[in-house]
Amino acid sequence: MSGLTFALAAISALASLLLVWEKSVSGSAVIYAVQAACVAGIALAGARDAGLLVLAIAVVALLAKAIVLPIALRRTVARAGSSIVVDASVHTPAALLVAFALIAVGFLAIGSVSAPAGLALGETLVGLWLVASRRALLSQVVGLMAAENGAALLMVVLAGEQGALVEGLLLLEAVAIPLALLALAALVRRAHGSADTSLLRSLSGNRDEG
Amino acid sequence: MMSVQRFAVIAVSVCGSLAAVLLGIAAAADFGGIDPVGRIAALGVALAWFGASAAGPAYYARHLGEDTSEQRRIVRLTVLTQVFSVALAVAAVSRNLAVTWVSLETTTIVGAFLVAAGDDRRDALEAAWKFAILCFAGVGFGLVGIGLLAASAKGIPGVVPTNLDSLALVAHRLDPRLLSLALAALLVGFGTKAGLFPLHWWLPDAHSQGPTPVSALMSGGLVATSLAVIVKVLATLQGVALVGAFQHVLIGSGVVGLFVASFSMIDQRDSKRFLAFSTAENVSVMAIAVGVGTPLALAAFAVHLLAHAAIKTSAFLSLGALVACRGSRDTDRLAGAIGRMPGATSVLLVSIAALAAFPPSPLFVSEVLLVFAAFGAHMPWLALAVTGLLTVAFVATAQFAVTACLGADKARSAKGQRLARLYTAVSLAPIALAVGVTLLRPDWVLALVRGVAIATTGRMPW
Repeated sequence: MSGLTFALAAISALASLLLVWEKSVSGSAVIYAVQAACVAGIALAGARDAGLLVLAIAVVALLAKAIVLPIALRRTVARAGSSIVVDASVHTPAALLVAFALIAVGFLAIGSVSAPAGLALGETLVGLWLVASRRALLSQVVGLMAAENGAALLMVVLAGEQGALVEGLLLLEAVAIPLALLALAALVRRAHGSADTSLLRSLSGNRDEG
Repeated sequence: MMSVQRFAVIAVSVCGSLAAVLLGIAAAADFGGIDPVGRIAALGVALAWFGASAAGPAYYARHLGEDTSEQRRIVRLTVLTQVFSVALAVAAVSRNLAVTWVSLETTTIVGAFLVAAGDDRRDALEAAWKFAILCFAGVGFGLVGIGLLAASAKGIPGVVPTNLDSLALVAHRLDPRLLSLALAALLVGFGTKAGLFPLHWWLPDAHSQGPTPVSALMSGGLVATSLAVIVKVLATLQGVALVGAFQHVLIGSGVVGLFVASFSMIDQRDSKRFLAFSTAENVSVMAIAVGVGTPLALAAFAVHLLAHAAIKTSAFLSLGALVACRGSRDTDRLAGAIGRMPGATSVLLVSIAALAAFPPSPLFVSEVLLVFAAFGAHMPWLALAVTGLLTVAFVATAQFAVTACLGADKARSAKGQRLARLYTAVSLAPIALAVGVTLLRPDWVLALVRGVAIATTGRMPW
């Protein structure tokens, strides 16, 4: 493990904590971009000697994760109205404490195998925590994207030598999932007239239907 | 004259039906060297795929009127159904976890939009959102699991860490600590897609809100494939000590899931949601079978997986005809449909009886095998718990059958539309096949069930 890999993984983990702290989705998009650039940067560094195909996939993944997706996210926010602010169901200090604990859990679980892998597992857990603790559709999307960043980092660190396979998986995960979620979020917002997931509670299963 | 869109829907559906039949033949005849668990899952996918494809044109016909944007939506829906099915088929037969992961990821992406296309737009979107968020998180864990599995094989020369055959050769040399974490992540990842308790919260919503052919495909195919992947992973690591702990987790998940699903089925007024909870119930039964882990239990798993895929496809499709006719999913409003739609109602009634494990349902066979397997594995408490909870599910299913199929006609006006008779014939095919196979017990099916037990435990079930 190189010092650069550890440094980028640490910045990436720090970014996941900042995502918990950040209030606006637009700001979250910028933090996500930094986190994604770190992850994609590690993948790119690992792909240098692995052939042209792997390198090409890694470059595309870097562009997609660090540039295209954050822009798409900010555009979606702009289309939804500038007032979209993270609406958390847990207070920020408590949410940050949980996030710190999750990073520690990740590090304790597999940090002895590889420190960046431990941080990556922690990032994944923090991303899922964001999904669970946020109510706005787009901030749930950001949470899931952060979790995917963590999973991607873990794959790069632990299975990076698999080359094209790993890079391909990461590219699919990096692009397809967020785009699908953003499209779905737009449909939900259009149908419900709101980006608040707390309104999505009509499926009780025992109501009278027309 | 037939519009281009209508022609496209029929053409795509016919191609899909033929592909499903070919997949079924390949899996049954053991073409292409598919492993037994993959063959069972592929047969399940083929049945659901055929049902969803062949029934599609008749089901969507009422949407193919003059509105061209609606016509285009149905064409997209039909194409996406085929993409979903192909991805399921690939995941079912693959021995490479990375390929399986990509395929199941594809089913999540496509599946979210399929569920979102349900008739009740707002509820369908809500269900699609839950499905997407939970399943994307789940498959994220799956990816983490694959990474950890690769890490556990680090330093072992010549191993391809995503290939199950390659991993099986070095199973005892994998790092046990990383392997346990990998198994936990894979169980969460693929268990979410299978709808294992407590990761099943998307299932009742997604299976009930999507268009009926999609519900059939998800209940019959997606569940079968995801469970088969879990079984393949555990089978790859058979003999590794910590796998036993995960089998206990599966038993725990299965028993609690069976409890929750069985009681949720009681007095369920939304008919499609009833079938969705029935799917959760059957997933739990299969999880228990895998957890017990003896050859007889794995034979029960194989029979149950195949039978459930066939029966649930028929149940959803026939229910879809009734719901379309009545214009409501409310169980009370379906009552008396047997007088108006005797064909579809009869198929639903037979399917519901089969789901309740009424002989000669193959589910009766699998559930009896499971109870015997639990006794044989010195788990009498489990056998009793499963019997008790299945009795609750039986009562709930009988109550549903009486209300929905045999109750007095309370509908003042029928505001829905009747589907073509071909639709009823298609909905009958999977269950007719399942019951026919149970009665005739052809050698190839017995050999396949035996093959699953041998492949997963290394021993003969009988």
